[in-house]
Formats: sequence, C-alpha cells, structure tokens
Amino acid sequence: MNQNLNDADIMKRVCAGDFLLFDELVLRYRERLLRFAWSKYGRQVAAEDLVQEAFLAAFAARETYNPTFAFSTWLWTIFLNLCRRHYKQQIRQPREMVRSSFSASEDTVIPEPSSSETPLQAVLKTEQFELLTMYLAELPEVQADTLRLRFFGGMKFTEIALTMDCSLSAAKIRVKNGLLQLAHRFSEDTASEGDVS
Amino acid sequence: MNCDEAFDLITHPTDHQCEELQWHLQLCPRCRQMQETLAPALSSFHQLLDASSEVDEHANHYSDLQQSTDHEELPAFPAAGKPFLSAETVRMAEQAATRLSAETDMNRKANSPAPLKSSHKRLMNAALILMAGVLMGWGISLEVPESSVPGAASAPEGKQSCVWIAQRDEISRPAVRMDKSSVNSVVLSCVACHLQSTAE
Repeated sequence: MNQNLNDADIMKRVCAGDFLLFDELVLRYRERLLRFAWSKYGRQVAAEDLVQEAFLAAFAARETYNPTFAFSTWLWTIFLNLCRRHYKQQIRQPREMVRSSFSASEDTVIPEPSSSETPLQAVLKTEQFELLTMYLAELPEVQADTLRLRFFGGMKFTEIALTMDCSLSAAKIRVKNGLLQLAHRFSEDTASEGDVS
Repeated sequence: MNCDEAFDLITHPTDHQCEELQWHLQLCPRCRQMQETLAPALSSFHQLLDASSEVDEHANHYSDLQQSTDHEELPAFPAAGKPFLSAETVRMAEQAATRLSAETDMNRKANSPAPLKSSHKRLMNAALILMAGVLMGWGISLEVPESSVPGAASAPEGKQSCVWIAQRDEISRPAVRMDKSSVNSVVLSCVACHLQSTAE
C-alpha cells in the first residue's frame, strides 16, 4: 500500500508523525546510493555509513523539506555533500587503489554473485567493476560524480543539474566528456592487452 | 526524436535499447558515431547494472533472512562512541532544502507565463499614459495664444525683445515688405533669445 504513495506524500506523513513510513523511502533509494558510494570509495563499510548518515540527516531535517522539490534531489544533494566531505578526509589519508581480480582485499568490493552465474563470470564481473572504479577515480571528481549519478543513481539530467547545482547543459557535457575519457581508457586497455598476447 | 533526446537514451541506465532510439540511430549518422565512440564505457556501465539488478532480485528474495542476522552482527552505533549524525550534517541537509526551494521557485517563475491579470494591468497603464499624453498635447495647443511664439514669450525682462513678433505684425500689414537687413535682425534676435533659453 505504501508503494502507491509518492515521496512527497510519504514525507508529509512522516512530518505529521508517521515515522515508520520513512522506511519506505529508505527501501526506495538505499540500493542506488550504495551503488554510488561503492563505486566512489570501493569500501562497503564506508559506503553503508555514508548512506545511513544521509538518511538520518534527511530524517532529522524533515521539517525543512518542501514538496515543491523532489525528495530524491534533496536526498542526493545531502548524500553528495557527505561524500565530498568524506572524500576530502580521504585525500588527507590517501589510499592506493590496486587492480587485482583474484586476490580481493578487505578494501575492494566484490559484487555479490547471483545464483545463476559461474565462478568465472563472477570473477570477470569483479574485475570489470574494479576497472571501472579505477578509471572513474582518474576522472575529475565532478565529472565522475555526474557519471555515477547518471548510471548508478539512475537520475535524469534535470535532477543531476539540480543536485550538483549546475546547468542542464553542463550536466550533459560532464556525462559526455566523462564517457569519452572512460571509453578512451577502456580502448587503451584493450589495445595493451592485445599487444601482450 | 531529436539528437538531444537520443543522447538522453544512449546514456540511460535502463532504456538504452529502446526501439525509438534504434530508429534514430539508423537515420542519424552523427548519433550513431557518438554511440560507437562511447560504446566501451557504456557497455561497462550497462553490464554492471544489468548484473546488479539480477543480484538485487536475488538479494530481495532473502532480505528478511539477512536482516535478522545483520542486526545481530553489526552494532547500532559506531564503536568510536561519538553520535552517528552530527549537527553539521543536519545543517547541511537544511541548507540543501533551502537552496532547492529557492531554485525550484525561480525555475517555476521563469517557466510559467506571466499571469493574465498583470498583462492586462500593463496594457491599461500603457493606454492611460498614451491618453494622458494626447490630452496634455491637446491642452498645450489650446493654451498657446495665436500671437505668442514658444521661447520668445519666456524671454526675460531687460533682454532684447523678440523682433520676430514685431516683424510678423508688420508683415501682416499689406503695405510693409521685409528687406534683407530686417530679416538678419530677426534671425539675430531669434538666435540670441533661443540660445539663451537652451543654455538655461
């Protein structure tokens, strides 16, 4: 029944005291936020902490929510700001990203294998995810975040523009340029693998 | 579908294979080239997303079971002992809400056409100003006496009197004709009088 309610209605009811309904919002957005944070930090624990903090902040500041803007945009804005703060802290204590497909350390993320996939498929997927995470980390932070919002957050360009406080065209250009650079890196990688073989 | 919409679909996390886009790509070589250039990056994102959606389905199936075990293993608050949510984070959320409210209002005002009432009001004002202008012009033309000439009438006392008026009176008499010297004196009187008034 709660699935029929839109985000704004849920927030209205949460503000009116129906606090348990906030769970529905958590269910709706948690996965996407986690995917974003995993691709940015590569650490599951840090990602989950950030996601939890974003939800708590939204809940604590619920009275300031205005139904004229989308709840998703607000939540993503909070989350992005939290990520940036965390990123600054992380820069002070840099962590080397190591590309390794078979020896996964505690810091690297291994997507959960689905029941239907073979161990080889799981390994390839992990490798692909690590590669993408590594290439994203090489991009300027704003560009990489725009790509993460688009693909891992599943956001529209208008929502990205609002969340990142930039124009619609800027959001599109960031995605385009980011993809071009990523494509170039993937092509380079493929070419170098070809040379080795 | 235009190229801008096509780019939206090319980079869409889920709808990147819709028929509408395929039609556009067949017809538009520029977009087709763009898609081919971006393909290595796009396919990487799409494969991961497709795979994770499969994982999500699997995970949702067992979510209830996992939740009960997770709660036992993980502490509710971080071990450091400090509160999980800081006042700074809440302030951040409040600021974000304020900014988004302001931007949404601005966008709304920019996108929505001006209300009918205000446009009517503006038209009425313009009509009133026009009418007032016409009435004022008409009133001035009624007030000006036939014998007076603008500028000359306002010549201050003690200055040379306006020769043009005197000459006009004389010309109106049939016997009198204007010679060259009298024309020059009229011009000089006009220049002296009108230059003075413009300088003032």
